[in-house]
Amino acid sequence: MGSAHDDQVGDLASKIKISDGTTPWQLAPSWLAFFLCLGEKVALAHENGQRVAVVAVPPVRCFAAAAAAASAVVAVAREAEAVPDVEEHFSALARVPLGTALVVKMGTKIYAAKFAGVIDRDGEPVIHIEYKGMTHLIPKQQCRRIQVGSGGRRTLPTRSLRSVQSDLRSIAAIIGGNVAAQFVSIPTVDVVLVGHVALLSQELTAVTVRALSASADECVALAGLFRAARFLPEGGISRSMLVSDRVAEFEMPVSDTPHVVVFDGGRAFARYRTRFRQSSWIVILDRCSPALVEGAEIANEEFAARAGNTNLLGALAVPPGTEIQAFERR
Amino acid sequence: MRYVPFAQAASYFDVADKARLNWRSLEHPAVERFSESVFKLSRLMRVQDDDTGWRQFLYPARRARNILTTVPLPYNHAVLGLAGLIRELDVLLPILRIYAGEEAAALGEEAVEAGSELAGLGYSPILDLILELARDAERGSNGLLLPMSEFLPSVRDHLKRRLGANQTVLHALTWHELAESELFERLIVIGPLYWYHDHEFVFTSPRAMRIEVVEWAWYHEQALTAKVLTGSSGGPMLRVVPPPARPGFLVTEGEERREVDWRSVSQELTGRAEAEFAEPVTARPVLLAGGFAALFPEEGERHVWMLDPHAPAEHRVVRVDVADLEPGHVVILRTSGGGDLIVPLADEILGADARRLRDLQHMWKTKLAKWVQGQGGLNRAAEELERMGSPRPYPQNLQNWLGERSLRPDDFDDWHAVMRAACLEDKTMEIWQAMGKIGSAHRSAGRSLGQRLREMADTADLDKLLTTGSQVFSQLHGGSLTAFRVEGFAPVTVRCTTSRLMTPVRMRSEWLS
Repeated sequence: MGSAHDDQVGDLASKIKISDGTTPWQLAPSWLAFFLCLGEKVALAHENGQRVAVVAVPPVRCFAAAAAAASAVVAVAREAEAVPDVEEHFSALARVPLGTALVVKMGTKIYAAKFAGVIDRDGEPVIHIEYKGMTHLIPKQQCRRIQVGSGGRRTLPTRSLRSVQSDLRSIAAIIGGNVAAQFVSIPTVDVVLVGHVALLSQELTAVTVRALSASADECVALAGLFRAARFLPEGGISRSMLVSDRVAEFEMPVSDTPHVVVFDGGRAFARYRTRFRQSSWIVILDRCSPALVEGAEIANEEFAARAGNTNLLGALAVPPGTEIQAFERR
Repeated sequence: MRYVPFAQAASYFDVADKARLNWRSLEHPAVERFSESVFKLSRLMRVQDDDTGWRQFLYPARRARNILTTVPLPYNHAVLGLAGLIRELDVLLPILRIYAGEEAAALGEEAVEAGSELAGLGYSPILDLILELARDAERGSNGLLLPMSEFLPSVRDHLKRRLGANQTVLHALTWHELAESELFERLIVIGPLYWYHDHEFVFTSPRAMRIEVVEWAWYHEQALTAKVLTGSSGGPMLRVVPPPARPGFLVTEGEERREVDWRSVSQELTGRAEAEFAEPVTARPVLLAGGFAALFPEEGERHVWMLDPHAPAEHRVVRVDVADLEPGHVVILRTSGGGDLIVPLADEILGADARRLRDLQHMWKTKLAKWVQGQGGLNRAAEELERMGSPRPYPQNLQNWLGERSLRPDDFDDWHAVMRAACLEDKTMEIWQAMGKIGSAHRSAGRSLGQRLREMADTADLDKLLTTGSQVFSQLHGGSLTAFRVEGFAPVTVRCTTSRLMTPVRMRSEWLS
């Protein structure tokens, strides 16, 4: 198992050690480092206004999509504009149905609330929310404290859970304290991962990572970086979604366009790509799957209609046996 | 798909650009005579307009050829049934002569002669070569990839007898298992390579540092094209330089039929037109492991129970739309006692009242069918229903109401019109309520069945399913349940009656690829 070389890895891969519990802590092997780096590069390209697609056909699909999705979440959190435009965000909120679940940041605490409408107060529009049986009016200028999302099944605990705190320390060691605080407190859907949910969940939870200098107990599962709601303790704030490629319909909890969508498998790609036309794509096609041919055909159609080529991957060493197609989408 | 541990996944990348591929050529005069006769007959048949008589002979001949050239068991092994196949060919020779003429009959005679010689042999050249490879002390673990999965258990048993009950030197497997298996030191593949076009990963994502292709000398290979993406970089590194073609009898990829004979499969599945009145529905023939096939609906109620052997217990058995299925998925079907899993369970819930309620269901559908027939077809009957006050009198709806799976229309006004048409107006409420009871029992049965199937999948040993692709689980109200791995979907749909749906039928193996 080769280790990553500094000039071939992205930011995240160069800062972590990994283990799946059965293997000792090690630097990310070069194939995994590639997929971590791929997630970062695609996320950053999207931030810079490009809409790209990278299709990878590795010898085996395992961990590729999970790694790319987790690193994309981290990359977006580091680079994206932390708060949305006030006008845009306010008008998006004003359009949601009454009773919609919200996550609201009040001081240092985060609460689950319900949308109760927009009212006019002294000539200024304010957002009317309800939580813990109380009513709150939040001025338009502060609307960025509110995000649409469930954020927990009940009112969030007023104290952070121990596991959240522990995750925060481990995450801070990897991505830096300032970013980490926002990372675990601002709900968004930066990245969507589509595939076989049970399998991806197992991969995201099996692999743990820690900062190079951190001790072995300061680790976090890949799922902790990916931050989909299902992996977080009650009250955890999600930044991504894990979507089953078998579900006919699903609702995005926010109206944002995800920066990156990672499709794990030909079927996920075939079914869901049209739902995410505005996002950048990472597609992992399993060389062993009967869906490879269908996925490759669609990828080739998208490639034929591309806006242009991209040198996104630069000199990044492609893992053995892995075929890569990268292009800028229309 | 199941979870592959991190270290195992890493090992696949490790060998991806290092694996080497070698060929081992096999020759045997009688096997060559038999194969050559069958191939020449196939070539001759292709230029015929009417191939009826040819097919009768060629199907068992091809099956015998496939067994002789791919199964590593002694040719006289009972499970192969070679002696029976050759006897069948012998009986069919006169028919071949009548339909196909002297040239074809001479080839048929040659096949029978060589086949008779081979069927009595207590060895097989493939088996001998594989055992010789396995005895090579340098290679500790060998995978043996078999093209025909139906003989896998017998091959494993035989290898145990030859190499010892606890032998780990030679592990016979199919491509399904290979995809997620640990690395072997060497993988023995019974070739040629083009037999694996639908699962090229055998070569492009190798599961061993060394791949040994055991292949009869008359097969002529082309180089593999491993890239699938336009304008791509990287890709499989396995360097494949096929051995040069030998002089004499040669078979190339284009000359061998590898496709499923969907026409024959479809004909077998759809059967003859039945007395059933309901209009036929659109369905897609689906190949199932173990040589079975079934028709899956393309319209109407399209759900089937799917078993995922590697999923967590609570998700191991789920109900999915057949459109969500793909090759490799496992479906649970009733293999005797009718295709519907829900009805017998619902009847159990209904208890003593079940007979009366089912009789009412049967009665109104029969009377309605008779009335539709009297009207001259669905379209006219639908127009008449509209006059009788049906708010949704579409032919498609009427067809659904006539079908076995529908209990009653959702809307009471439709129901009222249907009852008037069936001359059952005085029983409108009674039958409406009866169908409601059945519907409620169906819903309970659905929930109960899901639970039962989950328990079954949770407690049963799924080894047979994982190895062979099919497994009979239990008897359920006089009908057995079988889990089948989906092997492939027909490229075209067919029309069939609803009673034919979801009912697995064993196919003649020569129709399969």
